[in-house]
Amino acid sequence: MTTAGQENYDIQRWIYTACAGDSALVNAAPGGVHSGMAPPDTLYPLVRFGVQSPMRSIRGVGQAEYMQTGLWLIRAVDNAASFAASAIISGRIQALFGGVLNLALSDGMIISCVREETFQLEQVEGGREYRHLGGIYRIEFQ
Amino acid sequence: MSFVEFRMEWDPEFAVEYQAALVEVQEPLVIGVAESVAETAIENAPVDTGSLISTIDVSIIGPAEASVNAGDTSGGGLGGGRFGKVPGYAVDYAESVEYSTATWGGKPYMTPAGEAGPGIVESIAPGVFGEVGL
Repeated sequence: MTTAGQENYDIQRWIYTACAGDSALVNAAPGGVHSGMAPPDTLYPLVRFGVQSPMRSIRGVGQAEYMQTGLWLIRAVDNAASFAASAIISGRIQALFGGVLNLALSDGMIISCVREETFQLEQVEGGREYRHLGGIYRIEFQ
Repeated sequence: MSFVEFRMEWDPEFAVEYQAALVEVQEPLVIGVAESVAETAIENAPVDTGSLISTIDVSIIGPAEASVNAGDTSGGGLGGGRFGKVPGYAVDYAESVEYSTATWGGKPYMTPAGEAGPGIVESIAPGVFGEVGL
């Protein structure tokens, strides 16, 4: 069992390591993998991930907490005029995180990770188009 | 050999007897949860001018189906001022705040509120059931 608050760090580390270790994803995302925001002037497309809903404790009988569950948004972000490059990255994201069961980490365990929703967003910011493509994943952690 | 058995079986007559009551609780339960989610989303949302929270509202989309919306009040909703709604008013950054942008970190307000839904059902169900005699 991890200490309180450590689960987010463990999950962040797992997502980062899984993405960074996937050569197809790394080749498709020259901007790299980022928890939260990417630094300014990072190349696109890139991968970003973060908590979409805080990890909620699931308790059994009494006060015993047996796992945490929460939603994480994992996505490709591109400044291109189409989703073509993002779709390749999004496919790798789903291959890595869609349907993970009982995966032991160095501290704790991913009981399950499944995609609850696909995620697609088009924005114009500072006169530039940005496209986000990925998924919202339910992660159950112990 | 003897044994003791406790068998449970759904009584079809129960279903007939309580069917009307069960249908009766659907709408208040769904609307109650939606309103609670909307209130939590308003609490979660960052406030600068208050424009975003003024667009958070509840809409009924079916007999036992409701949605909580942010960004656009043009569709009308249950808020009627309760949530500070201004009819016809819209902001174009509700999605950006929820999901962030390429260069700006967001602050999810709706997803965490929706995640509280199951707990809300547990808290309001006894009162709603009591009102229809269940």
